[in-house]
Amino acid sequence: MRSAIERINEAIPALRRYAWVLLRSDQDADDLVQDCLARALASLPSQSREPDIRPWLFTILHNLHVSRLRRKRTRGVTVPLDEVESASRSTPPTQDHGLHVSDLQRGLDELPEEQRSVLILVCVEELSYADVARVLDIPMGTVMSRLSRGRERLRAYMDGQQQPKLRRIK
Amino acid sequence: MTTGPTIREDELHAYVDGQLEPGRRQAVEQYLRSHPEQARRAEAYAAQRQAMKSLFDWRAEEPVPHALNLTEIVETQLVRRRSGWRQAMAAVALLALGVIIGVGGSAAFSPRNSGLEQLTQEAITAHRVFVVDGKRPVEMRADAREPLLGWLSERTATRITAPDLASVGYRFMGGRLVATQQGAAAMLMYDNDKGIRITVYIRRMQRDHEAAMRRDNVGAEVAFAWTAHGVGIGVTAPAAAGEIEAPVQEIRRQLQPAA
Repeated sequence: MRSAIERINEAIPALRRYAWVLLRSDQDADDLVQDCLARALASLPSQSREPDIRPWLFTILHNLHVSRLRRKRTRGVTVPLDEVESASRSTPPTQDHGLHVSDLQRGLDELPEEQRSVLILVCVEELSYADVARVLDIPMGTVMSRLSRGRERLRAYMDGQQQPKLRRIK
Repeated sequence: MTTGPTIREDELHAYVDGQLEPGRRQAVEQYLRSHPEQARRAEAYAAQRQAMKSLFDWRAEEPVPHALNLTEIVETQLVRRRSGWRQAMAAVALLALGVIIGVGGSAAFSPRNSGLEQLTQEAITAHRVFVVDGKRPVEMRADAREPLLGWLSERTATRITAPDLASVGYRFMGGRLVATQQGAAAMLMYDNDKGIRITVYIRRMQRDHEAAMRRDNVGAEVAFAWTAHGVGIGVTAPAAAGEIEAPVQEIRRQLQPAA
């Protein structure tokens, strides 16, 4: 069996991808991944026998992300993600796969983060539902309902591009 | 008309995500055949899934920046945190890193071999083979500098210049052509007063046309690699050479392509 270090190494590209989706900033995403890796390395010995190391790494990443958000909110210096002008975010190269990519990006941005995280972990990172529940520390039923609501909302968004846009009031 | 199996909402998602319990696939497919609206949902969700992948996958295909190199992180931990158990943990991790890197080098690279990783591998291999050559480390020596660089430029379809490293204590020895799967590559060799040899490896890139510098410690060598304007450059030195950043920065500065 390959060593834990080697498996962590292999997971780095996926961690960068997930962190980037959460933060949409190269610098912030890589800072988050760096912290995550430092923690993972520090608590390595207990994890060496895990067959799939990715859920564990995503859990660390997610918890760091949440605690950073909380810290920033209490300091009150940050702008919520959905109020940031999309022009100020870094944009990936566009590709066309049936759905219009920038519409998809906007559709995802419209989702509450709790739904977006579930969608990304399931669809992009391809974690099992049970692993997603573990990463986000929520019951499996909650994973399924967020997945269902997120997908339906995204579908409605993509279908209804021409309809007047409704802004969510908080 | 629509009698037949019913399925749970969860199962529709599991079907799309390939996480359906074994034995339920047929029931789900049968259900979707008789419920077109649900079938359209499943189709839309599958399309979303595919589109999300293409939207974000580029990020995982980029070369991993130097700051996220595990060896680097462990070393930083060792320096910053002097207190007890953390240091011990980091030492254990460093040991484990040494083990995988020691076992054949290639294990240290991720399976998805990016263009830059490939270049790094080639640069290290060429370095290992030629620096130990006592008789003929280079094909043409520095006293034939102009013909050598002209020849290498022609064969690699890249303008090859030899950086002047006198300011950091290294002399140009000469160079050679190296055959790779990606075509011809040029290798330049330098040495210093202590007899330490470093090599500069240059070739055109098919992928990773612009990539930030990465550093890899592989066995007894340390390699720096980056690409600019479609040309990849790898600098390899013995890890024991000590302060190697100065020559690397000097090489990078002098080989900076005109923007």
